Amino acid sequence: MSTDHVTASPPREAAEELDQGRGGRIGLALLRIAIGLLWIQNSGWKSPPDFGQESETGLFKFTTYAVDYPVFPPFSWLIENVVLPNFTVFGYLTLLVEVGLGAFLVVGLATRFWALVGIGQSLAITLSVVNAPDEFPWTYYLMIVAHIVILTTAAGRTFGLDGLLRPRWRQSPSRVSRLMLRAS
Amino acid sequence: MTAEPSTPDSRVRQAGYGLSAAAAVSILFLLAPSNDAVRLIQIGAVAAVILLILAVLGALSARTGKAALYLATGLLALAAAVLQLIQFGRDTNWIGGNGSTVAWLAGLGIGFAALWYVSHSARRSD
Repeated sequence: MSTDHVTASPPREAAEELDQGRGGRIGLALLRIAIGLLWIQNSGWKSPPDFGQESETGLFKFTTYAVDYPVFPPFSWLIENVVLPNFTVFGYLTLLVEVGLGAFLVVGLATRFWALVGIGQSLAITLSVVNAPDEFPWTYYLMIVAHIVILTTAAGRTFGLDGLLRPRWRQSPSRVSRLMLRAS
Repeated sequence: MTAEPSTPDSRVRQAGYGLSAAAAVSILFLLAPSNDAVRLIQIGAVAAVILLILAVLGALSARTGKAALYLATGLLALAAAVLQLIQFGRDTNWIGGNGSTVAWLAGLGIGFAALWYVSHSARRSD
């Protein structure tokens, strides 16, 4: 029996190119800036020095939702045993992360890195509040998805500083430049 | 008539004008009613003056193309952001903003500082 015949796999259909025209690029920039503004506005109600701990409002109230209306028990345990006993430190960390998200996403610098941070922060918020009364789960799902789009399309390269800086970073042999190329 | 090709210098200039325009437009939040749907950034009178100065300095930087002016604009915005971060939520709050003011000023500061970096490194490599 002859076994020398070769079975050629059928040619793969080439994937259609995405629309990279002006409209598509403006749309991506709008998404990035809108999400940046979302974080900027969000950092407005994280008020130091106690972040609502004494009056049980604000960030403290929403953080306790993770314990009162658990979504994922290990996350609730972490909040109850690590975050709440050290709430001031956690409050400042949250504020700085959200200030960073707003500032960097709006101008489009190190956008992929900050989109990754945004996915993490949106996930933490989702795990804290999604089971609480009067919450609309899709708010949080859409936040995660929006950051995934910003991450995967490198949205800072269009109408953002990443687009301006990447040629400079590419010319430089320094470690920081290589890191920024990855982050953008 | 053909459009002028985009050069690194002209792109930096456009970005400078863009950031200056953003600073100027954000002063309008001073007039916004205090509800979450409209007031994305808390801007008080002092913050409005700072933003106006940033907008003028930023536009001047873009017009002259002077790297040092971009740096001065960026440092001014970052200094205001740090001051606001230290003071908000406390009794003394000179700028009168909150975390959103910190983030906005920081974004402008980072933006202008990045434009200084591009202009400065372009001059050095010339």
